[in-house]
Amino acid sequence: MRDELMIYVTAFKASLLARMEYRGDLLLSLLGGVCFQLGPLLAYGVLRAHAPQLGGWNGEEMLFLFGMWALCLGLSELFFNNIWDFSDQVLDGSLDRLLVYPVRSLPFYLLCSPTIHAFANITMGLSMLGYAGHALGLGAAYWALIPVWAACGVAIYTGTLVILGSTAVLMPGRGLDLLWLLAQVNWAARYPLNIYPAFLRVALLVVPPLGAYHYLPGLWLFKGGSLALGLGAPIAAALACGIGANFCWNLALNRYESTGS
Amino acid sequence: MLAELRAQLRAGGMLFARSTQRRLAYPVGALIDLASFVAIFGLTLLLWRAVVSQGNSLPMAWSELLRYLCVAFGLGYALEFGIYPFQQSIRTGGIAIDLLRPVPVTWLHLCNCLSWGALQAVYVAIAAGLLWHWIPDLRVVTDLPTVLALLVSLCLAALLQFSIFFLFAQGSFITQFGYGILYTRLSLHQVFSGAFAPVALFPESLKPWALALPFRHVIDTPARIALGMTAPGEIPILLAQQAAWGLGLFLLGQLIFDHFLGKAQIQGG
Repeated sequence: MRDELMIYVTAFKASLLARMEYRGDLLLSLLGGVCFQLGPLLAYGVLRAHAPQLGGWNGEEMLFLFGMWALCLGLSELFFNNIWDFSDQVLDGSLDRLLVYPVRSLPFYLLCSPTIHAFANITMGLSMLGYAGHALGLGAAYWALIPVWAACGVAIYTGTLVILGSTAVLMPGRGLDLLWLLAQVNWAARYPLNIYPAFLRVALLVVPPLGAYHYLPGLWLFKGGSLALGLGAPIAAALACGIGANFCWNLALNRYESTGS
Repeated sequence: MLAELRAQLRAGGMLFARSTQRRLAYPVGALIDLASFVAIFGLTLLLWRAVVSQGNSLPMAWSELLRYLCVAFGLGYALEFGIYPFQQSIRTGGIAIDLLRPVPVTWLHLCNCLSWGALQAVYVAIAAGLLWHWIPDLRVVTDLPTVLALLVSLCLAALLQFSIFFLFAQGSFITQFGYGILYTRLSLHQVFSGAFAPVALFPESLKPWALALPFRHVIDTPARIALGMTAPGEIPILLAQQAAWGLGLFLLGQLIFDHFLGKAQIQGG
């Protein structure tokens, strides 16, 4: 187990150093990450000019949702981003080499393609969470639970990506489109879900549970929701997504036809 | 000179047709792509619906905003060009092959983008036809001078969008991973083009930025002309601004491209 972990760490470190090799790339990637978070914030600024509260959520509470969303996206992009290349690798056969490594394929595969703009997303996310926590005067429980919610968010988002990405084995060439579709839907989960029609609200809390790791904790923190909903539901959703991702990945690899076979 | 121009136009036509055929070869991909856009459009509508249903007053009526957002969505989808092959060819060195072709690289990618745009415009037209009865007052201008101005505006918007894409894509000459550039352009476009909201609804702190940047001329300007939301005498000024931005950025992109080509080293060369 320890040896396997060391392999993961070494592979991740080597991939990250390779990504950071070019200064221009590093700077532009960071700039892109900042813009990626600033854009939706500015868009929200347009809405806020006409509606100081959206679905009963004020600006600082919205920052909590935006911040948790950005943090989880950044962590997923930093540690588990390779699923975005899965579709291409199925097509060009470069996935073959994965099958000969003496490690569990899913975590190893996901770890090997960190992105630089993830650092900007993480920094922006933490800044928004820090500002929201400070402005709303939230106590120690808030700060202590942020890592738990972030871990749940990463598992939910990455797990859903893996489940959809695995279809690339069944529909070669189409997996990336589905991931892009999910990323677009994920943008909707950044806003308070109570502004959406009931069917969409339920969908974003159940299949896929993209709102479970920030909206439900937000309900507990700001709207008097229960702790079971604010903490138990994100953990349950994260476990379900993790198990589902592992199942779909193994199913996909069992059906994968190597270019050499 | 004339013969050469004719040859280039013929080559452009062939590239356009080939690119369209390639796009049509993957209908599932195009449908999922459309679904992604519809998801974003739906999100935008729901957000504004939430603002209105809370009793907040907007400077324009909900029906007017709905009309604007529908037209903005159609324009945004039609003008979301596939410049990524260009970015990819820079990253992988495949641009060496483009340079060997008997047409300028810019022309090659312009034809490629226009074919994407034309095909996506057909999808938008079909969707608009199907939705026509369900969307209240989705009427556009019908008087001939404004219709002509709209056609000119659409062409200039396409040129401007291509120029912005072409300019941003060249960041791939100095980066290994193109997503920073992609996200920067995407974020600027989504906020300032008018895809999310008409510039008229922007708060005073954001409006000067939106007016100073070229992005609004991709969606906001043609959408306003199409819906007759312009002030009297404003259309010629808007068209002139669109043309200035489109041509200016096109030339700038060409200059930068020539500069990079002079420095580029291609494996095996």
